[in-house]
Amino acid sequence: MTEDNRKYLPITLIYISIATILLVLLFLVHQQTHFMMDDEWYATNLVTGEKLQSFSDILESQKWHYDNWGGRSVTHGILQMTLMSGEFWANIFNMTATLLLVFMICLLSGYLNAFSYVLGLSLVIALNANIKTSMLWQSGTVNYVYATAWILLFLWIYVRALKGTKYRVEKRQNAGTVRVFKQIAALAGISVLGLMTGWSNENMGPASFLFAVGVIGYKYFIEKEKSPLWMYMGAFTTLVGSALCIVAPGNFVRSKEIYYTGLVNMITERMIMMLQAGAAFLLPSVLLCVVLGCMYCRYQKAAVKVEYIMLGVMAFLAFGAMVLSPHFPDRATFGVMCLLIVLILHFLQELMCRISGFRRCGYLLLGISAIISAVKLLSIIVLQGV
Amino acid sequence: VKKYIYLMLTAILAAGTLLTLHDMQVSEGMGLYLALQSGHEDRRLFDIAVDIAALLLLAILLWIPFFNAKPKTGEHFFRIMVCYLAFMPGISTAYILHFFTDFSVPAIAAGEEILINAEKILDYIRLLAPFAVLLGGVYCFSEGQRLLRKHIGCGMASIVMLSAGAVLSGWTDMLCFIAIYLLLLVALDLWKKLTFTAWPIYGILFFKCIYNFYDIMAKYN
Repeated sequence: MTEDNRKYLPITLIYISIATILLVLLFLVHQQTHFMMDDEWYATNLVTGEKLQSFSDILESQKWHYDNWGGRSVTHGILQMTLMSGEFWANIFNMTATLLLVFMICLLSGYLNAFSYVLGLSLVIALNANIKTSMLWQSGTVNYVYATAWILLFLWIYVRALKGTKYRVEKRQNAGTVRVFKQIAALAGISVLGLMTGWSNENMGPASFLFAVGVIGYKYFIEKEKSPLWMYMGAFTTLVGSALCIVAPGNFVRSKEIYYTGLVNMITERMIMMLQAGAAFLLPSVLLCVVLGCMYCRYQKAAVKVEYIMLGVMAFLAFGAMVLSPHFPDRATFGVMCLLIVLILHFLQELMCRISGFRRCGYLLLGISAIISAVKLLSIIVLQGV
Repeated sequence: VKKYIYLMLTAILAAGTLLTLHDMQVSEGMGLYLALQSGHEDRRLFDIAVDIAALLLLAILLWIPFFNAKPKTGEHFFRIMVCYLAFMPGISTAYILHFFTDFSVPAIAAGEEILINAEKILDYIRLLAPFAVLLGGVYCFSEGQRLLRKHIGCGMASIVMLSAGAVLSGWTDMLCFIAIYLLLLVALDLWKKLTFTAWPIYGILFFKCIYNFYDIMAKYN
C-alpha cells in the first residue's frame, strides 16, 4: 500500500460506511414498500384485466394505454416489465437504477469519486420533495428514477461533445468497414436513446430536445464547427419521442375529464401551482445551487462553463414547461432536482479543488445531507409511512 | 434606485405579514377568546390588539439581528426580514397563548414518537441547516476566520433544543422555533461578513415568503 493510499484509507472507509448505511436503509424501505395504487392496475393486462403473463400482454396494454390513458409508453412499458418480475426483483432493479442515476449525476457534473458519489446519493434523498412517490412507489420509481438516469446519459453524451471530447467513433480515423459499422451502431444507439429520452415524460423530454439543439447551435454559431450526424440524429429522435409522448390520443381523452373553470381561474391556479413547486418542492435544491453558484462566481472569479449554464437553463425550461400541465405533483420535480444536483456537485468540485478551505465545507454538507437522508429513510421504515 | 427597490420589497413583505397574521389569528379566534374572557361581545378591538401584539413581537425578533448589523441599511433590514419570513416556521398566536398558559409538564416521548418528532424537526431545518452550514463553512475555511464564541454558543444551543424537541412532546414546535431562530441569527451574522452577489438568493427567498403567506392563508380559509 502506497503512502497516499494509506493516507486516504480512513476517509474512504467513512464514505463507504455512509454509502452502505444509506443503501441498506434504502433497500429495506423498498422491501417494505409493496406494489400499490397504480402498480396494481399496471400489473394487469390493461385490456383484459388479467394478470400480466407475457411480453405480448405488455404490448397489448401499452397500445390501449397510448390510445386511452397517456403517452408515456416507454416508462410504462418498463414499469409493466418490472411489475411482472415480482417485488423482490423489482427492488433489485430499483436499487440498480438508483445507483446508476447517482453515477450519471456525478459523471455529468464532471466530479466522479467516492466523496461526490456519497454526496450525490444523500442529496438525491435529502433534497427530494417526496421520496415515497418518486423513489419507492414502483410507478414513480420507473417514471422518475429510471427515466432520469437515461435522460442524464443522453445529456452527458452531448456535454462531452460540447467539451470538445469527440465521440469515440469519430476519433478513429482508420477507414474501412469497422469504422462504418461503428458509426452505424452509434447512430442506432443515439436514436434509441433519443427516442427514449423524448418519450420519457412531458417536461424533461422536450427540455432535452432543446438542450440538444442548444449544443448543436452553440457549436455551429459560437465555435464555428459543424456537428456530426449523430448529434442531429439524437436531437431529431428526441423531438419525435417528445411528440409521440405529448400528442398521444390518451392525453386528450384524459384532458376531457378536467373541468374548465375559465381563463382567469386557470391562470391563477397555474400561478399558485408553479409557486408551490418552485418555493416549496424545489426550494432546498434551488437554494443550495444558487448559493454555491454565487460563491463560485465570487471566489472562483470565473464565469460558469457554458455546458452548465445550458443545464441550468434546461432545468428552468423543464420546470417552466409544467405550466402547461393542469397538475404539478411534488414527484414531478424529481428530474429538475437531479439537474440541480449536477450543478451543485459541479460548483462544489470547482470550489473544493481551487480553495483548500472549501474542502471542509463540502464534508460538512455531506454530513448534514447524510443525516437528513438517514433519518428520512429510518422514519419510513419504523413508521411504515408509505 | 436600489434603496427604493429594497424599501418597496420590504413594504410588500410587511403588508403580506400583516394580512397573513390577521387572517390566521382571526380564524383561530384569539381575539374572540380574549373578548369572551373579559366579558365583551365585540371582538374587533381585541382582534386589533392581538394583531398589534403579534407585530410587536415580530418587530422585536427582527430588531435583534438588525441591531447587530453595521451599517444599518435598508438592504440589511430586507435581508433579515426575507430570511426570517422564509426560514422560520409559522407559529400562531393561539399556540403561543396556549403554550404560556398551559403549565403541564411535557410528556417524554419514546420510540416511534421520537421519530415522528424528528421528522417534523427535519422538515423545519431542511432548508436552513444546509444554508447555515455553507455560510459557516465558507466563513471559517475560505475567509480564514474563526467562528466566534457567540456563533458556537448559538449553534450548540440550537442543537440541544432540537434534540430536546425530539424527546419532549408538546414542546417540539416551541423548541424548534427558538432553535431555528438561533441558527438564523448565526447565519445572518456570518452572511453579513461574506461578500458575494446576493440578489439571486434574495429573489428565491422572497418567493418563498410569498408562498408561505399563501400557504398559511390557504390553511385558514
